[in-house]
Amino acid sequence: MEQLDKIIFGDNQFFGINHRSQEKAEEMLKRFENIDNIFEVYDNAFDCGIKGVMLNSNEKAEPICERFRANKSKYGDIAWYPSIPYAYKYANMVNEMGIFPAVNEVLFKGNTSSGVLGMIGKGANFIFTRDAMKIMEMLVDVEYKMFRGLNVKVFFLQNIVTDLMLGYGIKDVFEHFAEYVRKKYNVTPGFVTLNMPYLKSKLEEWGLEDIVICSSINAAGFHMHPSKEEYEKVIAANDPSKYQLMAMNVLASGSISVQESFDYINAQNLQSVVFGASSRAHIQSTVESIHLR
Amino acid sequence: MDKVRIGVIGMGRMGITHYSIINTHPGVEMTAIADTSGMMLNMIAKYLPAVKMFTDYKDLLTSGLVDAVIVCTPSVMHYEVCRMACEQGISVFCEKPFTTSPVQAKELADMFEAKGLVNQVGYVYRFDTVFAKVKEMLDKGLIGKVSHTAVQFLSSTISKPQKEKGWRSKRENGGGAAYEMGSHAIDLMEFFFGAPEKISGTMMGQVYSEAVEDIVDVQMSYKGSVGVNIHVNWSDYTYRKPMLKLDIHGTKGKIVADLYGYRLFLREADEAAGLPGGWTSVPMNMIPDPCPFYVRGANFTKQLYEFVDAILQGRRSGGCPFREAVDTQEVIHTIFRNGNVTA
Repeated sequence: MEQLDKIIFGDNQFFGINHRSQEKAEEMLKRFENIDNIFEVYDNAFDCGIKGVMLNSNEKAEPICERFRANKSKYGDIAWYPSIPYAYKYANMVNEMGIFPAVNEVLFKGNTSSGVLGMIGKGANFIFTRDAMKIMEMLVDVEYKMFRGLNVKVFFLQNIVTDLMLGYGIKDVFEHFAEYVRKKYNVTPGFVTLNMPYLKSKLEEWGLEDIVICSSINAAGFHMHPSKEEYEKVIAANDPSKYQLMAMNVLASGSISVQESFDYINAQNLQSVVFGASSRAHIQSTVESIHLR
Repeated sequence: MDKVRIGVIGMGRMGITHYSIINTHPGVEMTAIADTSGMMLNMIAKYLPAVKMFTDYKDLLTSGLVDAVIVCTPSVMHYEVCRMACEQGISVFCEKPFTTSPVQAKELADMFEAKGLVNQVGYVYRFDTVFAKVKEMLDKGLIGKVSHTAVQFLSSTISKPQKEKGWRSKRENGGGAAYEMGSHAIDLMEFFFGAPEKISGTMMGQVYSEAVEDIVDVQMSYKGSVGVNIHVNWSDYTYRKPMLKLDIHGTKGKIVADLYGYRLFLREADEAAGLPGGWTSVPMNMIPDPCPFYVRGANFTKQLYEFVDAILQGRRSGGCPFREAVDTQEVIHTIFRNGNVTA
């Protein structure tokens, strides 16, 4: 399996996500309304030696991707770790119109870019009831378009979808997603989850390997379900040639000290860490603190 | 009983989520799903071969395949579904709001208690880490005698004029801010203080909706002269995510809590509890909150696991029982009766 970048720069700070404070989140949202401010942070991150970017396919990601593509000479060597879908968009649409009309809307309307004709062609023959996997492929294609032309290494399914599907325990969904992105886009499949031990045991049971698993891992035990102890056991026993583990939420939204956070992370059998920050000093000190084994 | 056989009635957004959560419980066997959408059933049938699909919930309830059901139909149907489940000796987890009539709510509470069946309504905030902690602090008497609580529940759920005429847009069907959000706030007060003794000062307002209220205010008093006022506004476009805030004033101190954490003010240090005088801030992420399987929030998992554990252990559920949901229904209908929608 292709090795992950050890340090990947995340996107929560850009999109007003802060698990600790709504006010802080709103302040960030305001600052990053201006895309120049986003790129100032990215440039700082790259100056500090970071070479990988994780970005969720939300509505603000499109212009970010566009600018990366337009400046290929500057950003061409950056590795991409996108995640799909932008769950809020779907949740709101499903709330407003129901599941099937929402899927229909995403696939066939409000989608005027060039790929859509091919998609309709592909969709014309299917009926929702016959082939759920084909619908999934089409949704993946719609979301993937945003990242075309970028150096994508791992393509992640967001935890909201991963964990919802994981609860159903349907092998086909995971197998199909993994094989589809591997074949069609030549990227490693990844799953973001808040239930890493459960997901990993299922993937093993289903014989699905060569997969990246991104999950909350931190000294505080924040969002480590069912327990921090269970995570530690699974991490220690993991074979990275089958599953590479990526840690997110390593600072547990600031509830533990930076020193304690990274002492913990550095002692684990992890392949990669994704973190977000908005000040150069913070990025620099974080990069200097990460020493994965 | 070593396994509970469960069916889900209504595979909308909540039904889909609940299925995923409870399917991970080791003491559960999912056996049946009912939904009126043949499209939904056909799509999932292929991937859940062990689960029987029904287009009519009545057939599910009489199939002999389930010990318990999770009811996620439009609220206006809750009464008939729960009633029939009870007649069949089936335990029920029912989504909120419980019913659309206090009389029906009471009838269901009586029926389920008479049969000794586990019954629970999905007032999920009782299982929220912060609010469960607040309840614990109140029960310990940490802030002394509570005299007043202010509750605000704000969201941008309806932030533009409504075109869609789904079931949520009608009050008779369980739509509107009082049912959707007010019911949660009212239930939380029931959880903290018991049944309300007096309901007064109700007001409803409209911002974007035509048939239902967007803003709800109600004042209530509880045993021991606890005064509560609740303000709900689901058209507050300044909130990206719903925000439920509490401000509880007692003789020895005060608790200010929201979904992100709580702040406790004590007039004097409480040595027994190991708490200093003045403010103590506890952000949500400092309260350990692991759950067996996380899909939408630890509280959603905890409430459903509690329902199943209660059945497996042959005891009452620790969630909101039908009996307490009757009180919430009464409050909501008092608000409706007093009318007073200001445009």
